[in-house]
Amino acid sequence: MTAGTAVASAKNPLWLSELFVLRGDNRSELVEQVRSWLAWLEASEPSDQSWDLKDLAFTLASDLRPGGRRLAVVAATRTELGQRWRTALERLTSTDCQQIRDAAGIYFTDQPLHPQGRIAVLFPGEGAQYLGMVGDLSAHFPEVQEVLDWTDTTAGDARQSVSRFLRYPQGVGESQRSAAEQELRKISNAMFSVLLADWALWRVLDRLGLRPDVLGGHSVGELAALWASGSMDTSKQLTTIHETMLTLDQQEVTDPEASAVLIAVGTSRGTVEEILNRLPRADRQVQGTDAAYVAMDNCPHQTVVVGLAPAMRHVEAALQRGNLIYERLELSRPYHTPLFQNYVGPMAKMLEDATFLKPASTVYSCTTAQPFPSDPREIRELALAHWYSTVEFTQMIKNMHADGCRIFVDGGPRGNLCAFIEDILRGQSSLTVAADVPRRSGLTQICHLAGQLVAHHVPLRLEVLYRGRNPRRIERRSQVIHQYQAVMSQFLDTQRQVMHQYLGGVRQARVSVLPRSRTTRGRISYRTPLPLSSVSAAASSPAVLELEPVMNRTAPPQAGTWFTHVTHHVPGREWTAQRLLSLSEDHLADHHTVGGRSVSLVDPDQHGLPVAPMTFTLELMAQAAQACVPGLVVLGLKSIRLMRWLAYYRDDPSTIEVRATVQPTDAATREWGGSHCVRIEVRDLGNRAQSPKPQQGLAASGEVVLAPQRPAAPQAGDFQLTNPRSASVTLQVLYNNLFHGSLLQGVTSLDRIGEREVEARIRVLPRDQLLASQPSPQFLVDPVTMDVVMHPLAGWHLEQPDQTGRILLPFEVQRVELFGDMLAVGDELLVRGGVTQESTRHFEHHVEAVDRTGKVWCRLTGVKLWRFYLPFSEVNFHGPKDVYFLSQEWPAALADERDTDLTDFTKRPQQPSVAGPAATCVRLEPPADLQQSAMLHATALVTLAPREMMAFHQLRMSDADKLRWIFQRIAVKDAVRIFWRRTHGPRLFMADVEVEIAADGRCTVSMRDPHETRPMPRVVCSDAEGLIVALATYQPLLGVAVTAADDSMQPPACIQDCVRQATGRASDTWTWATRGTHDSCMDWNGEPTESAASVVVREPLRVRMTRVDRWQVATLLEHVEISEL
Amino acid sequence: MNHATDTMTQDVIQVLRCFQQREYSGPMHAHTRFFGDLGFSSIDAVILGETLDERYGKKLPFGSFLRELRDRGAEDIAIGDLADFLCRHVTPRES
Repeated sequence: MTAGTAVASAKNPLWLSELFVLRGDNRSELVEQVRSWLAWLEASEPSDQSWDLKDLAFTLASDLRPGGRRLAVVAATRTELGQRWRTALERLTSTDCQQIRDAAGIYFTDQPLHPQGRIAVLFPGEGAQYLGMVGDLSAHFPEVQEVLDWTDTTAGDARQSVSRFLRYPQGVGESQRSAAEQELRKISNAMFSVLLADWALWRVLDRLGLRPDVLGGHSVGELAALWASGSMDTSKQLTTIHETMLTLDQQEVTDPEASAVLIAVGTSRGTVEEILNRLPRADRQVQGTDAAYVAMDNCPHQTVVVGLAPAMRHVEAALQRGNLIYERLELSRPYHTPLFQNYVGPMAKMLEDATFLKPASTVYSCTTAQPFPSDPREIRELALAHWYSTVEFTQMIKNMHADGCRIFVDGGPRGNLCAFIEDILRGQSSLTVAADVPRRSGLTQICHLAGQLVAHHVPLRLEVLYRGRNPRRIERRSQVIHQYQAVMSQFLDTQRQVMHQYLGGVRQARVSVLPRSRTTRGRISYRTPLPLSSVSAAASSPAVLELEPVMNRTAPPQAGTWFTHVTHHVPGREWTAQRLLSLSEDHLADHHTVGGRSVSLVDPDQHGLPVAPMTFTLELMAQAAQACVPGLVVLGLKSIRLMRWLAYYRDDPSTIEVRATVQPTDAATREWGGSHCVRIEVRDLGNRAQSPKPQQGLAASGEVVLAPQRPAAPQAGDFQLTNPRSASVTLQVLYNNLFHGSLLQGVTSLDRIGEREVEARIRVLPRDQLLASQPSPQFLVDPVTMDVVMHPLAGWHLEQPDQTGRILLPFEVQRVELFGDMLAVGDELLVRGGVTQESTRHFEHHVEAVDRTGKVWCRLTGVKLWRFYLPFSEVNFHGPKDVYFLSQEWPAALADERDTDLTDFTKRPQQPSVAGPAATCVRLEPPADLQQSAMLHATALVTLAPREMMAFHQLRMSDADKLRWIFQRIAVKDAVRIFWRRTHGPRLFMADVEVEIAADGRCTVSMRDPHETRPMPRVVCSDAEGLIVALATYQPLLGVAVTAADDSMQPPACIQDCVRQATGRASDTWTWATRGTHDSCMDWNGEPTESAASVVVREPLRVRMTRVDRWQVATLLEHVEISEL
Repeated sequence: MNHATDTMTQDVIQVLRCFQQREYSGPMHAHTRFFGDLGFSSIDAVILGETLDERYGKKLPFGSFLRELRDRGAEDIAIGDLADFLCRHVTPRES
């Protein structure tokens, strides 16, 4: 129930404005982007109809990569866009500009609030309603239309449905409109329409991919928050709620003396309470009972006071005397006061009949200003109590902010809650943004909302804005260069989206994977049944249901050996087919596992994430091209770009689609000797966990050059190595640092290493176990041999002294030339390759394989490998996980130069009879490259035990919290593994140590090996601002806690965290006093004091506070006997 | 529009150009609306009253001004309305 000035304006269902998002890695790059696009816009002819604003918005949204600095602009015309970009440019080039929040539609910040800041979505209650709210969104969002349709269906008569207020048309005469507004003010219509609008907008936000960390509601909006959290069943409850509202209507009284008066006052709760208290008792009572209350504490500048009419006349007079701004609300029930207890019957019945469940996400109660309890019975009681309790909106927002919320989205109509929140959090770091405001069309406001969120790095599915609008991509000449450079980032971005969905849990896939079949003249279009081997997967997978045969299908032509599901074929021109990425068929993928292999001693079959080798994709492309234009041979492939990995999910296989389209034969093809050039696109259609997104799922593209026959293989030329030497890297080391299993390990010797070259020998590996259904597969590219051809390049990298940024994965190949036919198993090839270019983000290589006759078998040029920056341990990240540590040992947390042997726990033995240190402390700053979605998934597979993996899949939290979840465990595992190795000897695998971290932060570890009986060390873990520290020890009183040095958290609080974690005792059982100071080190000693006579525990402790880089570290050293002090 | 009102309008525009840490780069004139064009809310109107009190060093009858607008059926506050109101109670501030 919020008070606001009605400024209802006409809503237009058309897209009046578009959102334009530009990004740069940093501010100066962003400025360059703005300049570049502005120049392009200004050079564009106004009459140029080849593109429109939607196309430009779509193009920029498609190119948006994670992170960086972002400028979001909302504009309606080309002229307006140019003006806003110019205004933004002026601001961005000014050194004093840290953010732009221009109501005209320009948004930028130098300090994005996400992902560090949590996201809250708040739902308004009665008072937020207005005619036409939300209705225009239904033109673009079917989710909104569903809500409106459902309302009509349940109402029976659409003319009487509450939806008529939501979809109220523009252009209605003033008197008619005024009557409708009057009707909307009826309590049943007001409350129910707001709830419907809340629900419709929530569906829109959800569709946009907004994933809030917490939810909350104001007054009746609290019900919407409970729905959104999954605590209440929407479809069942909406009907009951409307019936309840109608009952409340009937209870509205007509006797003015018996009715309540509600007044919104433009001042704080304190001022209103003071006014009430100053009134003579008799004036604020009716029949000897208090009759005026503060009902809503909305913000420092709005408090709603409610009471019975006789008392409220005195209140109003007092407000006038105080020259306060106030407004009577058109309601007559004493909501949110004890007076309402007499009327709460219908609400109680409604809530009694409702089914409550434990919320899937945190919901704050606007009664207690704290999160709702998890017990359904307590939720029901608290939800009911809200109706006769003060709305504690101010305190709730303050608590959310204290709990880390920084981004607040008003998820209902009108956007009044934004004003409240801005008033409450004035001067504090936060962003408030409304999903709807009356003065703009709904779709325009969604653009403004998305723009502000995207500027703050909140991940959104911007593609939703262009759904069904047929946007076209704009290709600028200079943009091609940017794309070229950004291709890997697109790759990472796509992977992030995939992981975002993956981490979000298994979703019900949309029904359709395939586009609906159409039969067009001259075209054959059909669907084919699944192979028998896939039937079980299909039966359990809604995502592939439409792969069932359609009526009157035509038999497919003979396709490549890897395809059985040809879905489209225009002979000689177009060909499309699908394939299931199933590990039960593609055994080779189980030997190509990103993250590493054999990562557990307990389960030697636990590996990383199986992905198709790049050469597997090349084989798919070659087969598709040959199927499209049969009778020709493959000369090679060119312009290969890999945008995402084709991952194999053991229990939930993905489907890929390969499209081949014959291109006009260009000069490059003719020069190569080819007669045809076929463009290939490989798309990942997703699985059950990932909604299929055919337009978004481009995984790879390239061109295949075909000819009637292959020319004779050229004789290999000389190969010079610069300052050649023998390789020092052994084959064991080579394959310890790759993630290839035995089916793909074909290097037989690393012979010579040059400054930029390598020479090696490989052999052709057996092929009978690569594919389950094909013991003798016929290849066009020979993907296994081709993959092995590139392994010596990894050997060259391992020979380099600096291993920084040498986790490498391919993302582009300019040209693959094939000269020879399939080789016999066991044949040997000489491989010669080298590096041609390098940058901080990529290496470019060339490599060729020469057969025993001295002829070139294949040649790859322009092979680009993306560099991932991960800590390099004894092996790289893909290496054996018993010797790989992601964390660094951090002895500085346990000792410094002032420590004696007594307190230096890195030197001090734990017990005379036990070897090893008393404690091990590690620090971990999760590498950015490992936070990328697919790498994170791979990391989970190779570091977590099965129980942890199951818990990981079931997490329902923000991406930031999920990252924290997994990296905290990795740090604890690393601390335990180092400690265990030094104490007991054996090396442990990360996945063989199980970690549990309770809600209060206390950690426990256990061994996955049931036969391990030695006691596990105590562990503590703490994190702040990107640093995680973990400590393992057998000592009873050792601990560590960390906080950001510039954090508002004061040192004593940090210390108390440390003590609480180490001892399990509440921090308020300790008292603290400072002893001495030091520039970088302080001692804190707990001592009983006079004022703390009631303290339960008085044991003195020694805690050292150290500042390291940008963190403060509190280390609880030990229990110190009183005599030592 | 007389000179005093014109000067006061510019004064109000200066206040509103960057009010409540929100900017507005679009054109602003006497007909620009506080809610409809600038996107402010009822709470902002209360805060605007406080801001003007502080700016002109006196307690202005801003509540009465809003009630007047409401009584005559206005749904928004035009900058010109606000300038007229201020002209009745204060002299433009030297910027």
